[in-house]
Order: sequence, then structure tokens, then C-alpha cells
Amino acid sequence: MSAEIDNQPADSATLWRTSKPRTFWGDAVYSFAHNFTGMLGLLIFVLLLLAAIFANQIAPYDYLTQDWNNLLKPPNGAHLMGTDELGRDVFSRVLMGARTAFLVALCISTVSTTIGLFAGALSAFLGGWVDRVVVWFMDALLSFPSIWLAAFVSVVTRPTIDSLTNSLYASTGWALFQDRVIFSYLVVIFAIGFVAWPYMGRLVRSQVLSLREKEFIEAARALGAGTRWVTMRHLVPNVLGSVIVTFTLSFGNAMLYESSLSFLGIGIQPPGASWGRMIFEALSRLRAQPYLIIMPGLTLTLVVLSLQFVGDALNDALNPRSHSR
Amino acid sequence: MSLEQRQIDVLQVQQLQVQFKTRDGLVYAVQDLSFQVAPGEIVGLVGESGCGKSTAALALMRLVPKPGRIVGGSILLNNRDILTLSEAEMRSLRGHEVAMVFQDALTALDPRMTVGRQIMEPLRIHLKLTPKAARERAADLLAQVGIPSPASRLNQFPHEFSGGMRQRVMIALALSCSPSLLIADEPTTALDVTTQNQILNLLVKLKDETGAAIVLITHDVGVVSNVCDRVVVMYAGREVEVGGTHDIFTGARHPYSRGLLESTLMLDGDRTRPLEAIPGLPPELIDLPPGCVFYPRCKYRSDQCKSAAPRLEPVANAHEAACWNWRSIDA
Repeated sequence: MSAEIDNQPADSATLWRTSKPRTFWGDAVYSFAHNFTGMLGLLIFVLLLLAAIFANQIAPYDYLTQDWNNLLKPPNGAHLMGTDELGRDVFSRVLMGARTAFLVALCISTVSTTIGLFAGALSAFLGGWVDRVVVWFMDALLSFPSIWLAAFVSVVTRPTIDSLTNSLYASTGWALFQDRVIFSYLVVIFAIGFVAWPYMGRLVRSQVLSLREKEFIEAARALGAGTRWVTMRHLVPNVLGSVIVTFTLSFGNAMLYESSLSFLGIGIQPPGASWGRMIFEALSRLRAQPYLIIMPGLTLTLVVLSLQFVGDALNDALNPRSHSR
Repeated sequence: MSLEQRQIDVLQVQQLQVQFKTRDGLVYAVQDLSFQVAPGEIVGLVGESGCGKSTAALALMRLVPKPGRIVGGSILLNNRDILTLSEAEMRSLRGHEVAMVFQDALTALDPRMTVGRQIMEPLRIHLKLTPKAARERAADLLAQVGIPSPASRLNQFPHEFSGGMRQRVMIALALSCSPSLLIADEPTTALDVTTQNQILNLLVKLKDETGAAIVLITHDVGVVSNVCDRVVVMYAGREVEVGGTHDIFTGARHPYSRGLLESTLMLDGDRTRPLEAIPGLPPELIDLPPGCVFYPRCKYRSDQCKSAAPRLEPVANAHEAACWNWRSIDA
């Protein structure tokens, strides 16, 4: 045999103990941390997220207060992003819009990821008629133009959610259920979540199906691993990578969808602040006061772009072949 | 074979039948397969692709994939019929008493898990070792299969290994709990020729060290002649000839075995002999000839072969062939 046998069990054991065991997730973090665009995206995202969370502390004015002495002022020292036609501070409104965008997008991507995960996994594991029904349903949803479908759902479910919150208010008496802003949040979350989950569902189903046929799953069984062991230690970690990437990208998409619906006037209702709504309201002033559109538009672009960077870097980091040390 | 001898066999397969339910009907991927493996013995399962040898290998672990089912026969592993065991009992055998080396180690190892963690898995499942003890044993195993600086290699992912090294990892994984039977399904097919030899030598060396029996599944006649003690030749899911490697290589009595040997280049044989191919293609398993399955391609065929399927009959000491005309095929 050409390769000499390196028989040094005692030494090898000590060597192992001194070197830290390497894991897939540890490597992924290392790889992500060394990805410039990924870290840049993460930095922008985190800064905007912090701005949204501490919007009340950062905003120099109340986002609803109208200053009739300062109508349509371009960006200046007192109003960093200028004022709109009601004299409201655009910077404060962009901050509150960020709050809406992040909150709604987080809810939407959490909801759609959860539904998609369960539906996709159930579909793949149970097979048979469950699989056929779930796939049929997902295909049906995906066959519609999604913004159209989201708009449709948003309009159609508005009265239903309205009566639901009214009856909840009647039975609990919580002011929460009377809040119009929260109500429009719910409508938007439901409409977009409904449209977005099949993407995740499809991904999870196909991933589980293809992984189950992989030889290493069979090999794990051949070593005596039971179903739970194979699922928890081989199937889930292998599916999780693409789920995380898709979750990141769906977060950005959800923001775009929320803005689009609000732009069309069927999303977040005034007095709730939304970037899409701000752009819609300023559309007629495109020539005279372009900053009214540029400020919210640029912020939206920045977040979505940063999430794309993060998603891309995660995609590289979660691919075991892309990193070697 | 006497009763006394049989009791020491690690593996006894009797009349094994594996059936696949397809849309067009029932297909017998393995039909009436019988063979024994003694401790420390290497038995080769030889045949073309699609002849049922891989299915037979999976059947030995009771891992035949879904539309397939073991419908008959018995598989005695250390005198216990594994076909009567519960799934939980079977799980405790897999990787412990019987383990498998797969063809392509790249796809048979989890790409997202370090090699060390994968070797630790069976140790933790079966031997219930602590993570620390399992790691130390994993390093020892890598050293045993000839991987240099095993401790640091444990910390690497499968794609960071070369093909031959990966196959060594596969073997270490299979041997981790010292199984009494190792099933190697085309363990060298995905490797280049120089590496093939190293892996085969390693298998033989480890067999000698651990006393494990090996069932080696291959289509490579050269591999068989190098390492196997006995050979089972399969064709279209049937066992057509079984015997000692030397007997088969010098005196095959089944036309298919002969064809297989004649189509292979032998370094120690007559090098001026032209290589002969077996005419035709193996039959579709769904549509087998009524008599001998080899009838359409056989150059020794007679009328009897067309209607009646031959059974294995002894042609010499510990050498059986399933052919009506074996007497006219001179050894």
C-alpha cells in the first residue's frame, strides 16, 4: 500500500482535544463574516432596523403634526428630508414608515415561512392525496400574478377582518382591536402572507423529496439510524440552509409588497405611515418636489438591496463546498 | 455442507426473493438467491448492472427501497433470521453487526457534517459512547484505514477529501462498531485504477485484522479474482453459478460466467486471445424468457433450455451451476 499508515491513536486523541471541533454552522458564520457585501448589507439592515425600533426617540417631530408655516419645504437643517404638503416632517414619516415596513415584513415572512415549512414538509412526508392537494393548492396560488392576488385578498378580506376585530373588541373590550392602524396591518399581513407561503412550501417540499433520495440518508439508515435521528441530524440541517436564505429574501419581498399595496391605496391606511403610501401621495409632485418620492423610495431600495446582499452571502456561507480552511 | 459447518457461517441466505410491484406487473429483482459466507471469507457477487446484485445487497440489510419487498426466503445473520425481526431490532443490527460500504462516498456522506461527527454517529447510536470517547475512537478508526494525521482530518468535510481518502472514510464508518459482516457495494467503481487496488488491499487487510466476513458486490471480474474466496454469479436476478474463485476462473460451467470471463482481459491468461463480447442485451426483468433466462444469448443452448428453467446443480466439489448443458461445456 502506498499510503503509510499513521498509527498514533494516543497522539491523535490529544490533538483532537486541543483543536476545537469544527462544525458546519461555525464555518458558515466564519464565511459570512468574511463576505464584504454580506457584512455591508447586514450593517445597513441593522442600522435601519435600529432606526425603526427607536423611531420615537430619533424622530425630531411627531410624524402626524402638521406645520402650516412650513409646507413643501425642501430638505434643510430643520427638516432633514423636507416637509410634505401638510407640513409634516418627511424624515419622521420615513422613520415611522420604516417601523411599519419592518414590523409588517417580519410578520409576513414569519407567517409565510411557518405555513410553507409545515405545508411543504407534510406534503413531502405524507405523500399520497395530502401531497396532491397541497401541491395543487400551491400551484393554483402561484399561477396568479402575486401582486394582483394580494390586492384581491386584501380587498376581499377587509370586511371579514373588520367584523372579526369588531366582535373581538366587543367580547374583550381591548382598545387594541379598535385600532384602525393595527387593523390595516392585519389585512396586509394576511393578504401578503397568503400569497407568499407557496414559495417556501414548494422549496421545502422539493428539498425534502430530493434529500430523502440522497445516498447519505440511506447510508445513515444503513448505520442503524432511526427516522428521528435521520430527520433531526441529516434532513433538517440540510433543508435549513435554503430555508434561511429564502426567509431573508422573502423579508425584502414582503417589504416591497407592503409598499406596493399601500401605493395602490389598499394597504396601510392613513394615519398609518407607509413608504408606498408616501410615494403615492407625492406622485403629483414628482416634478416640483421630487424629494417627497426619493426619500421613502431610496430607503426602501436600500433595505431591499441590503437584504439581497445578506441573502447572497448566506447562500454562499450555507453551501458546504464554498468554504474551505 | 454439514449442519455443523453451517452453524458457523456468518451469513446464510436461503431462497431469497425480492419483488418489485410496478405498474406493468410484478418484477422479481432477486429470485431464489442462496449463498453462505463464513467468518473471514470474502464472497463476490458478480453480474452486469441491473442483474439484481445491489438489490440483493440492500435486502441483506433489509433496506430494499419502497416498491420493492422481500417476499420469500430467509437471511440468517449469525444464525438469526433477520426477516423475522422487528424494525427496531433491525435498526440495532444495522451498522453494528452488518454494515455497508457504498459505491460513491461523496454522495453517501452528509456534505454538511464533518467526517469526525459522521464516524461518531454509529458509535453513539450503538455503543452509546460519550462524545469524547467517540471522537477518540473515530481518530483511531481513521488511522486504521490509513488516513494520515487523522485528528485534523476528523475536522474536515467530505468534499475536502480525495476520492480514495473518502472511500477510506466510508470503510472506517462501516467498521466503526466492528460488524461481523461487511457489505461492500461496488466500493471501487468510482475510483481510479491505482486507488482501486489500495482500497481492495485495505479491505483484505481489515478483514484479516477484524475477522469480519465481506460480501463484495461488483461487476469487475478483475476485482473478484484479486480478493474473493468464493464467487456468486448473478444474471437477471438469478444465481447462475457459485463456486470457489479458482474453480470459477479456471472452470466455469455456466455459459454466462464463461462469457463474462472471456470478455475480460486477464494479465496471466493467454494475451493473444481475442476478447469476446456476449451477444445481445440482458432481458427486461418484467419480460423474462420462459425457460432459462440466458437462453436468448446463449451459444450452448438446446431445446430443453427454451421451456424449462435449470436449477443449480453440483458440478464439482462446492461448485454449482444452473445450466442444462454444463456437462458439454468443458472446464
